[in-house]
Amino acid sequence: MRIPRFTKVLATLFGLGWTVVAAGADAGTLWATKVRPLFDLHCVKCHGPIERKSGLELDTPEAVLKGGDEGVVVVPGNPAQSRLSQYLLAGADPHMPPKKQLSEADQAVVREWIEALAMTAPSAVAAAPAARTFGSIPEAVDTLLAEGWKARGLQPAAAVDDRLWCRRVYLDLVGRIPTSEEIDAFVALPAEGRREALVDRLLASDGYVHRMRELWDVFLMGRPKRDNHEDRRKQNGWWGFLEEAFRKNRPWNETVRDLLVARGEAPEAKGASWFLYERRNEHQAMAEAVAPLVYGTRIDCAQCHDHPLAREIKQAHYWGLVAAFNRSKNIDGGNQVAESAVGGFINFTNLRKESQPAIVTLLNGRTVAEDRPAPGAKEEDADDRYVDPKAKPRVPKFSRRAAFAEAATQDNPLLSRAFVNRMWAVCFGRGLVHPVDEMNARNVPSHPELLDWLAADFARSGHDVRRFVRGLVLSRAYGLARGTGPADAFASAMERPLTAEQLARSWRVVAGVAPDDDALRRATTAALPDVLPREYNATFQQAQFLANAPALAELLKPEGSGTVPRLASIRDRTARVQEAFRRTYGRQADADEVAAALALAEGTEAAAGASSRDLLWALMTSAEFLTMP
Amino acid sequence: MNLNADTHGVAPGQCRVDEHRLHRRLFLKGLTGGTAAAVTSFSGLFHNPVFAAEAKRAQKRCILLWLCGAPSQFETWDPKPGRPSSGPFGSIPTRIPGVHFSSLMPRCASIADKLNLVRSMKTAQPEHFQAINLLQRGNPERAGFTRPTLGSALSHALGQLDSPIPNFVFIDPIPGGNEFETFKAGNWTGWVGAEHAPVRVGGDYSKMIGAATDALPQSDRESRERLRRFLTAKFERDRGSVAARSQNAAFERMRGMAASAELFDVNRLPAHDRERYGPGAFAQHTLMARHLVENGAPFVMVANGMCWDNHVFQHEIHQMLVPELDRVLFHLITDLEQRGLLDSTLVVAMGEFGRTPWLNPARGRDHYPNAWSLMMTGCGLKRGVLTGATDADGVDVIEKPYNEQNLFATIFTALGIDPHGEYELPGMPTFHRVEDRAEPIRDLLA
Repeated sequence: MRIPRFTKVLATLFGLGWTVVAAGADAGTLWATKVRPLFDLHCVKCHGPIERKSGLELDTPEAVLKGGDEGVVVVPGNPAQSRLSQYLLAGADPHMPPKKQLSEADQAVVREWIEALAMTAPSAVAAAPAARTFGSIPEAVDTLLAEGWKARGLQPAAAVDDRLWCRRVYLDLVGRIPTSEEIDAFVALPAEGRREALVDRLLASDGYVHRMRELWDVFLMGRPKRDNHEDRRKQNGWWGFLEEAFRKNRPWNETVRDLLVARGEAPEAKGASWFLYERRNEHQAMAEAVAPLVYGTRIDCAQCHDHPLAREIKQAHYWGLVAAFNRSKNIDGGNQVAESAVGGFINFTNLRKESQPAIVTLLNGRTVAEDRPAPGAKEEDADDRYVDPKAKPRVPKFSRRAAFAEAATQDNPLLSRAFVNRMWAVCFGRGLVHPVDEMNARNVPSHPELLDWLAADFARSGHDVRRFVRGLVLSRAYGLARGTGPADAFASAMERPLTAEQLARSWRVVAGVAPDDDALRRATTAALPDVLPREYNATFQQAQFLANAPALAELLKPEGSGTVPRLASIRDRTARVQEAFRRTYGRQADADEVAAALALAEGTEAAAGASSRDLLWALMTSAEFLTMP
Repeated sequence: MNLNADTHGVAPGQCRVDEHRLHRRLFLKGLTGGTAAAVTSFSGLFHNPVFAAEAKRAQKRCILLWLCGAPSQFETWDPKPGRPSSGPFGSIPTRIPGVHFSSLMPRCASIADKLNLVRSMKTAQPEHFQAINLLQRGNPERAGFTRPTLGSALSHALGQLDSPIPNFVFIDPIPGGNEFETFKAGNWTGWVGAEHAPVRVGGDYSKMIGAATDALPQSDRESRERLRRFLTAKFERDRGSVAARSQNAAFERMRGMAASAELFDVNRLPAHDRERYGPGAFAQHTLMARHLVENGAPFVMVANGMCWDNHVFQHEIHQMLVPELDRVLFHLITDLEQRGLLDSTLVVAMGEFGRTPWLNPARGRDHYPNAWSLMMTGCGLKRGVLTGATDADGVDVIEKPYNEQNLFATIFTALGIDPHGEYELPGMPTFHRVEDRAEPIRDLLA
């Protein structure tokens, strides 16, 4: 590798060593980890999908290598001859970026990448391997993840033992930890087939129905913004709709179609209209909520211009999605969303003030054909445009919502991919595409073949939700121990914070009472609202809740017949500590933990109750309890 | 100047300019040489009491008296005596020659030479929620992006990482109540991140500060917290848990708050202080705000929520509210000055717009963003300046109109922060503290 002379001189002057490009830092890795984020931040605004100054685009390596109006900007292996790096130097003319100066470190990244390009075989695009078949979801998951580990030289973590696996699966499928009796019963069964049996039993239970509704209520609607929102969701049948869908294991595409059409005609569709109704005629909010569901990607950035980073998302998609819903209007005083047979023909403008009509356009390439009235012509909202003009609400003969719903839920591979990625993220802590709601050209799947296979398999199965979840949790990869390897390799289990609902129920299990309690759940949800957050952020409010909440204190009263008084009655202090650990974490405490916890195991009868309460509190509010095992 | 949104404006290994100045000054004074404790780290300096006091004095602070609902400029800072728009209250001369306030503000009139008035505020939002958003964030909304509110932006720019006092305190007597409630339920921190969210005090939130809701003795709290911390720290070590680290940090912040819990207890202040400010939540909360900034809080927002929105019986209600504001502001400014804090504390008193020059049929004044007034003084500003003017009836601005961008540019500049600094937000468009290179109000800057 040639190091430009001026760098050598500088290095000698300041007594610095020469940096040698590490052999492992290939151009592809450098691009993905360092160069692309740099270009996204400083360059792509003018040299990307929105604007192509001098005909140059810098958002993909191919585009960079292609160059612009004035020829190539990169000579692979030769930064000194590459305008891409020369223009970055202070005092260069022309200078890039025009009004900023990139730091020396950033410039070095660009040079390093240009050097590394020389070592990459030019445009060596591997031919896509023929799609393989697998006999089951676990087989696909385990085979393809293992191939990834081998390619990266990673050793997978060991499998967790049965007790821990049982705890994990209970939390994921029914949203609470198992009781000690439930674990004991599980490990007492003969090993052969007991995991499958447990999973099947849990998937058939009410706990699963509630857990899935809890997750999808947040994914589809967000946490309620005001106190009465939760009640309204319940009263208007929204929770009932979701629960029916999961209880009956309705095909996912049919569930989604019902909430897009938003008419409670069939009994299973009752309550589905709340998805649109709660958005109070804000058609853009509807479009922005629907996109991750049926495309797997948010399209918010494409409101004012084509998506600046993900080339395939255009303004037309954003406004096309708005148009699908902008004939909708809430009927006050209920939960029905009427749809007009006329109107809703809008134009949208880009930053250059160029105007275009909005046609219902989907990201999967489909459009919904419609006759557009001549400008100025007024459409008559005649009765004959409706199926039954006297019905309340009237349903138009041509319904944009229904047409969109059909196009979005029939033969739409993006719908399957979106669901698969989301549930994978729930079970593994991170999607195969990350972030989970940005499945676009910007974000490459960590395991493309696996994602393709799982999505196709999901669609082939009739969008069978239970079958898919079952397949994930029965894979070997799901049962790996916690570790800290690269997140996108899944060679060990990732850290996954529990949701408020999981916590509230699990606390009650530890306390020895029935798991479901509205008051504790609502209080916990207010303090810990996140579900699958991009970044874990323990707030001050969360700490205050854990330390002071009356609902939690109520659970830990030393009186009565729960776990606290039972602990207090154990005379031997070490045994008491061990029992507390067993009930909370399902394991033995080690010597250090026993020593620390003995401080909270008072010997005297008078103090035993209070100190047992504190011991249990400390165990229940520590990180081990607040995250998945 | 680039601001990394994740690390409070400081890149690893880098100090803010203020910190270097202090550090150097003390070395020059030879203070660090004499003490036994080796000053090997920056945080070590805080254990030196002289440095800690020095640091407190050098810290910039801001108090925002948020007069939500919007007071009438005619009954406060910009009276129009003898005009149809005037109410029944006359005007009085102030210590600024040629400048009059409403006769409802005699005390502020007597210290007008310590205040600055902007009479030419001209903004575009006539509706409460939109206007609160505009005046709290300092820029029109851009779809899809949430700009941080003033408090969060200042917490990000001025806040201390390890301080026990929260960087952004929001004191509010009424958690509920129409548009302001909706605003409060929204996203305060925007792109600077959740650690710059306000710590809320007052109303339902009063109970939370250090309160023992299950009547637990302090010693028991300590010991169970110790075990929780031990187990969480062990979990962090053994598993490399990010969640564990974050949780322990949150509990640390809470312990810090509990340690400064008495700062939030107004009853610990001398009865004389409490009587001077007067009864009622607004007065006592302003006193608490003074006490908090005295003890290092960078930004305290005191909300006097929505009572100013007098669409009905404007004069009757303003007649009660304005004298209270007059008294509270008078004591706040004079106290800060006496304590030598006014030069490092910016005080802003404003609503989200003004009120109409004319009365509606219900004898009220309606919303009026077209021409309104606010008061700001303290850190980085001159004293006794009047800038901008409205016409004879207060219908329009005739001199030097300013909008929310100019206001925010002035606030940042006064606090020594670059108003046009760029936020570093990977994957997002470019945002500055104040957009469009809007100018601060030059007349006010010292």
